[in-house]
Formats: sequence, structure tokens, C-alpha cells
Amino acid sequence: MLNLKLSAKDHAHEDALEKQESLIERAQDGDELAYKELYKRYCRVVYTLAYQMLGNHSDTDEVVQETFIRVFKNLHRLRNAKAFTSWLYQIAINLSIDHRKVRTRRRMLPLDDNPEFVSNYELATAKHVRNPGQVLENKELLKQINFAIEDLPEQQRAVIVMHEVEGMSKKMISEVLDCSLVTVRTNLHHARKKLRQNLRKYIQE
Amino acid sequence: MDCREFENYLQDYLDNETSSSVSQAIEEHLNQCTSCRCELDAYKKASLLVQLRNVPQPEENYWETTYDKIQDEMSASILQMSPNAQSPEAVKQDDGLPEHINWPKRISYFISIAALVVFMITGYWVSNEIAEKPDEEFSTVIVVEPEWRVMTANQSLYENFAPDADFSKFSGAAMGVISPVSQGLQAEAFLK
Repeated sequence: MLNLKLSAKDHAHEDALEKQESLIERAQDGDELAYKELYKRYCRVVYTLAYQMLGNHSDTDEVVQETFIRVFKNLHRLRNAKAFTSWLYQIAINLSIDHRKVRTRRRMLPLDDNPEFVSNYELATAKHVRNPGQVLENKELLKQINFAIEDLPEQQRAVIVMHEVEGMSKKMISEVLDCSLVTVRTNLHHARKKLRQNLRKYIQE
Repeated sequence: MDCREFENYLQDYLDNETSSSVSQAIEEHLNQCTSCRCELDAYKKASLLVQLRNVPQPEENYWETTYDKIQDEMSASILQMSPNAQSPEAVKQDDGLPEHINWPKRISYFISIAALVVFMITGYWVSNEIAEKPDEEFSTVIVVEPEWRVMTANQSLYENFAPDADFSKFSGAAMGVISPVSQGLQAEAFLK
């Protein structure tokens, strides 16, 4: 079993700031430690992206595993190491969209109600808000935000998640979604309009 | 700048993608127009609300167990997938096709080639058979009677034929050459 906790040696290694390209080249040569390092670097980002798209842990878990399996299996085909990040995100987003379609066909509930995964927002508001009524209001608000995002079409949700939540540039998003910059801008525009409409109750307050 | 122009620049302004001159014009317009200011605030608030949707992070050991699962799934294929770590056996199995052509494609290529070869052999065999045995259906004996009445061994082939109408239709066609004969004689013509 590989130990993913960072040792002092690992920290020193990180300080050396190994260039991504050489790391990918090493992984392409079959270096298992390079695979591990790539996973360590990107597992959280991939998890966050997939979770934003899917809204629950169990689906996200499946997508994370499938994403890295695909990436590792096809890494030797990647010609441009600089494109690794957008390629990785592309796989994660596409798998999330596919997963979501399958789930929609089965009519499964989309949102995570598992109490284990209490959001940071809920924790933060619970700490700082003394009035329990306000915590409930905040919970309701969070629920509505989730519903508003869930209500968006796939492409628009992907764009809004990557741009507004993950802070990716439009150019990067166009690479990840393999579409034009104009399409990204249009999707972003429509997504913002819908979100504004769906959250108007909280916006007007 | 008027409200319509502001509407056009709104998305770019939200993303700080407007030029300094346009940004200045927008700000001047916002100072004068309450409805556009409210519009901009609404979009900004919606964006902030979306950003509140933090993703709950799983426990730290989740990452390790997930990596183990990925490794199990990959089994030993990680090293095999690397071209530099390709085993001699794998090299031996290389059938010369480009690397990007996967197995389902390869199988379909082989099936197509095999079907083409079978088709060509069958065609060659059939053409030989035809050359060796002339088709009996076309070796019909045609009897020409004095009134240009045509009788054939296979009558059904020519049952709609009206010889009195126009013999020229019949002559020189694919049926072969029939020379007119005198009264009382019978002529046989083998169609070629």
C-alpha cells in the first residue's frame, strides 16, 4: 500500500518544485512514483470538480477513480505535456456528465444528504451564527443554491462550476470542454441569467 | 453609454474583461442609472452565492484507499501501457497496424479483408463455370416458319412476341442472327 501522507523527504522534494512536464514524462516512462505524484497533485481538484457536477460523494468517488484509471492508461498517448491539466479536467467533466445522464435515466436523487459530508459553509455558519433559526435559513439557502446549480443544463453547469467556483479562465474552459471561446461565453451568460432568476429570492434580500 | 450598451458589456465587465475606456464609461453610466446598477449587483450576488457552495472534503485516508483501488483496477497494466516498458511478448503480437487502431477496429479490418477475398474467389469461380458450360436457357432453338411465325423450344420466353407485326424487332438483337428462309424450310439458329 502506498503511503500518500507527505514525509519530510516528500516536502523537500516538493520544495524542489519538479516541473510538471518532467513528471509526466517520467509517468509516461512507467515510473510508478510519478503516477502517485500526479494523483496527489490532482486528486482533490478532480474530486471537487466532479462533486460540483454531481452533488454527492458516491457518484463523485466513482468518477474520480474512473478519471485516474483513464488518465494513467492513456498517458503514453499524450503528446503535449503542457496540455495535461486540461486533458485531465476534460476526462473528469465528461465522465461526470455521462454519469449524470445515466443517473437521470434511473431517476435517482441527485443531492447528497449524507450527514458525514457537512459542507464547509454549513460548518462556518454554525460556528458564527448563534441564532439556530439563522442556521436553518442558511441550510435552506445552501439547498436552494444546490438546486439552482443542479437545474442548469450540463454544459452550462460545467462552465459555471469551472469559472465561478474553480476560477478557471474561459480559454482553459474552452480547452476542457473542447468548444469555442464564444460557446463558453454564451453558456456562461445563460447560466448566470438562470442562476440569477432561480436565486432571486436571496438576491433581493 | 446607454442601458442597451451596458447590457452588451455586462458579462465582460463582470469578468473584468473590458478595456479601461469601456470600464470607465460603464462606471459613469452606473452612477446615473439605478436599474443597471441593480442588474449588476444581482449578477454579482448570484455569483457569490454559487461560490458558497463548498465541496465537503472526505477524510484524509479516502485519498489513499482510492489510490489503492485505482492501482487494483489497473493491476499491472500501468507499466504495460508504457511503450518503453513493453514486454517482448507484446512486441511479438504486434501485427504491424498503427498503434491507435484498437482491437475492435483491427478485428473489423480483418473481417472486411476476408470478406473481400471470399467475394473475389467466388466471382472468379462463377465466371469460370459460366465459360465452361453455356447457359442452356440461351441455347434455344428457334424455328422460323413461312409466315415468319416463330416457334421456340422454350415458348414461355416469347409468348408475347408478335412476329407478324415487325420482324425487324427480332433481328439483330441479343437473340442472335436469324436469316430469312424460303417457304417450307426450317432453319435452326443457335443463339450465341
